[in-house]
Amino acid sequence: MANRSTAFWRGARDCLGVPALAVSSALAGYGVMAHDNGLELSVTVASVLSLWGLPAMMTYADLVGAASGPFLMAVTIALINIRTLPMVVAALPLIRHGRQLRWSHFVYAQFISPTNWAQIARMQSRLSAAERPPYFLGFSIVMWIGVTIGTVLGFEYGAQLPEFMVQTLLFLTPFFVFLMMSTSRRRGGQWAVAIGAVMVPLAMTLSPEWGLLVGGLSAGTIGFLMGRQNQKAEP
Amino acid sequence: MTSEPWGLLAVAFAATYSWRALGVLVARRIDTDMAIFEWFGCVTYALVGGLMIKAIFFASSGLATVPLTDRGLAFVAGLAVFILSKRNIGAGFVAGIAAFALIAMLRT
Repeated sequence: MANRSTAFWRGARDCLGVPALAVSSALAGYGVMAHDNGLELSVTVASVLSLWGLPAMMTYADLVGAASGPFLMAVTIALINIRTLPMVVAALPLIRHGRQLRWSHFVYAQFISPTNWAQIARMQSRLSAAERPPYFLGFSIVMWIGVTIGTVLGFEYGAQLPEFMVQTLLFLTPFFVFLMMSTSRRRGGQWAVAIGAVMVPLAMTLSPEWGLLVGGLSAGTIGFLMGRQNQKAEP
Repeated sequence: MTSEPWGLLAVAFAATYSWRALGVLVARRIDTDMAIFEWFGCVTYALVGGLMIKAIFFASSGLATVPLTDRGLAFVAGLAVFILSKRNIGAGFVAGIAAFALIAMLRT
C-alpha cells in the first residue's frame, strides 16, 4: 500500500517540471485563443478537461467561434480523435494492473495523452505492475492541474500582457500542434500533413462549412495512397 | 459570435470519448497496422495540420494583426530547426516561438 502511495507522489513529482511547463504554456495559448473566439472561462476549462487533446480543443474553439452546427462538430471531432483509439489501446496495457476489465480503465482512458503515454512507457521497466496505475494517476493529475492553471492564466490575463506576448501565445498553440502532426514516422502521414497544409485552408476558403472535411478527407486519402505507393517502391 | 458552446461541447465530448471507450474494449485486439487505421491517421494529420496552417496564416482575429511575413518567417525558422534537429519537437518549438516573439517584439 505504501508503494502505491509512493508511486503516486513519484508520478506527481516527475510531472512537475518540463512536462507540466510545456503543456501549461501550450494551454495558456489555448486560453488566449478560446477567449479570442468568444468562449466563456467555464466552458473553456471544461473543454480542456473533457476533450483532452489540443487538436480537438482548437477545432472545438474554432467551430464554436464560427457558429458551426452539432453535426459538423461531431463528425470533425470524431475524425480528428480517431487517433485516440490506437493510443488508448497502446497505453492501457502499460497502465492497468491485470487484464480483467475494470471501470477504472475507462477513467484511465480519459487521462491518456501522448505526453503521459510516453512517460509511462519510459518508466515501465522501473515500476512494478502495481505501481503503474498510481504513478500514471499522479503524473496525470498534476498535468490536469497544470493545464487548468495555464488555461485560466491565458484566458484571464492574456489581454493584460504586452501585445507581442499575446501574439506569441496565439501563435504558440497552432504551431505546437502543427509540429506534433509533423512527427509521423509513416510516409503516408508525412504526405498527408504536407498536402493537407495546402489543401485544407484552400478548401475552407472555397467552402467555409464543408471545406475542412472535404479538404481533410481528400488530402488524407491522397497522402495515404502516396504512402502506400512509397512502401511498395521501397525494398 | 458563439453558438451554444455547452451543447456543442457535449457533442464534442461524446464524439471523442467514444473512441477512448472503444479503445478500452478492444485493447490488445486492435492492429494499428491495419490499412483503415492508417487511412484514418492520414486524414487526421491532413485535417489537423491544415487547420493549424489556417489558424496561423488565415487567422480571422488575433494573429490577423501580425504581418503575414512575420508569421511566415517564424514558422519557417521553427520548421527548419525541427527538420534539421531530426524532428525534435522541443528544439523546433523553442526556435519558432523565440523567432516569433523576437520579430513581434521588434515590430511593436
